[in-house]
Amino acid sequence: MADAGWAWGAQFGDLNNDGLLDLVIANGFISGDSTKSYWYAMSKIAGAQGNIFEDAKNWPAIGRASLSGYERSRVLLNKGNGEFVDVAESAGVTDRMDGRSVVMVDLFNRGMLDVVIANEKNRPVVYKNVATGGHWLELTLVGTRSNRSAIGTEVTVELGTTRQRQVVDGGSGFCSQNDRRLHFGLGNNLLGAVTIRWPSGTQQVVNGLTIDQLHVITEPAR
Amino acid sequence: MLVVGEASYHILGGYDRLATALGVCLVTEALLSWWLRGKVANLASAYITGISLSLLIKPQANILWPFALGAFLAIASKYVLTYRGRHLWNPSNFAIALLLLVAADSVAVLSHQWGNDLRINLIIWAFGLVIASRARVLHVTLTYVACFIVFAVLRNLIVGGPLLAELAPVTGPMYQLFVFFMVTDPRTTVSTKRGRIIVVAIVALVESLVRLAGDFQIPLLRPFYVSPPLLALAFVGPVAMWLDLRRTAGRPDGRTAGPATAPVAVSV
Repeated sequence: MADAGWAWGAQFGDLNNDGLLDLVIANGFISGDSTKSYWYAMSKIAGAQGNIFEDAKNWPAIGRASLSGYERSRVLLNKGNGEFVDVAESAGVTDRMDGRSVVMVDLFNRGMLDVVIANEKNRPVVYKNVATGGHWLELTLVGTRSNRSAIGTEVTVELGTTRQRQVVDGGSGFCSQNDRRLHFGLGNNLLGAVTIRWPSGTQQVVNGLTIDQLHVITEPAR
Repeated sequence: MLVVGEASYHILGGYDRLATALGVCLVTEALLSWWLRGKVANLASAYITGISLSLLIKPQANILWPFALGAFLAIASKYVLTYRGRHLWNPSNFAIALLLLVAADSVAVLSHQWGNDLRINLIIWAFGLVIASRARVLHVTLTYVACFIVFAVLRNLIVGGPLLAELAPVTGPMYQLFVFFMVTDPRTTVSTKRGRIIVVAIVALVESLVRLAGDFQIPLLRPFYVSPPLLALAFVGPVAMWLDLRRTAGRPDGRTAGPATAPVAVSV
């Protein structure tokens, strides 16, 4: 994971519904002339005394050179033992555009997270997830006393002997916001209680939710 | 100081790095000196090498092997790469140069320390000047800095752009260790003051040529511009030492080891 290239936006999400959060990292900084690198020119000032480095007028002009250009994005699959393995190439994530923000969203309502990457000075890319296997649960939360988008709501799902917690956020990573629906990969685990902690302070425990379905849950009245 | 610096400013990137570099340096020195020379050598030199490696090597996150391998290479070079009983490379310089050439994807050198703050820089430069002066190697330091500035101006005339971009490298923390403690190493500098001045000027010249290669993006020299000064010294230093040892070998009193008699002679 330390060797993830320039690394701009990144998102966690369960891409193969095995109950483990995987990681997608959008990559590439400036893809200019592939035969000219700005790396050495930058190294002249990168280690300099702070006042010199901080003032961009002291930097050599970049011209049409590349700096960490044409880097591929990373798709790091969680092995569950503290290790991640990069499967970008085999998953078909091979574009070399300058990725900036990345989001995960179930675009086709299949219970499978797809990936969208916004690129600098280029078209966005949608990667449709064709992974198979694993059960899932998706939740659309509707706030009543809390904000209607339920932003800030914490959901803890019991999966066999483990638990997974996710938060509905209003923005995560560089210039990006995931689908507000929460997606939980379950693997082959039994789904236990789902505990929802709303921003209003209300705690709601839901049992017996059907797996492989999207559920709309509204914040209860006081 | 290193322990406090790590606790306060994270200057090492982890105590395990210091422990690895120091441990391997000390053990290697003890074992090799006992095995090859029949007695365990004074470990002060290995201690200094270990500290310098832990400061200068900045590897990819979560890997320790560059410190272990670098420490072994540095100390072993003193016993293997010798001529007329003297080692030719500054141990730290040899190890870091080799790591940069063969493992540039995993290893870089120090570029930030104490936030590269001007006040801290001035304090370190002041201490460095005092130490170099007391060690009688100030002429080496000042010659190198003067040459660096002259060559920086010349490079700027050739490649254009802001002059400060060419001068900037010498203001960084790696250079503080390089100009005060590495290029001045009494054990690996030539025997005469004039010779030391010429050699360090050649080091600065070679460094400048490597920097120009970087500006003009000459692919053949790409491995060298990850750290031009360290690699320039790694190539020029041992040649100069070899020539000096060869030149002085026939003299009745043998080679006089330059400023090594100075009471505070230290090197990295």
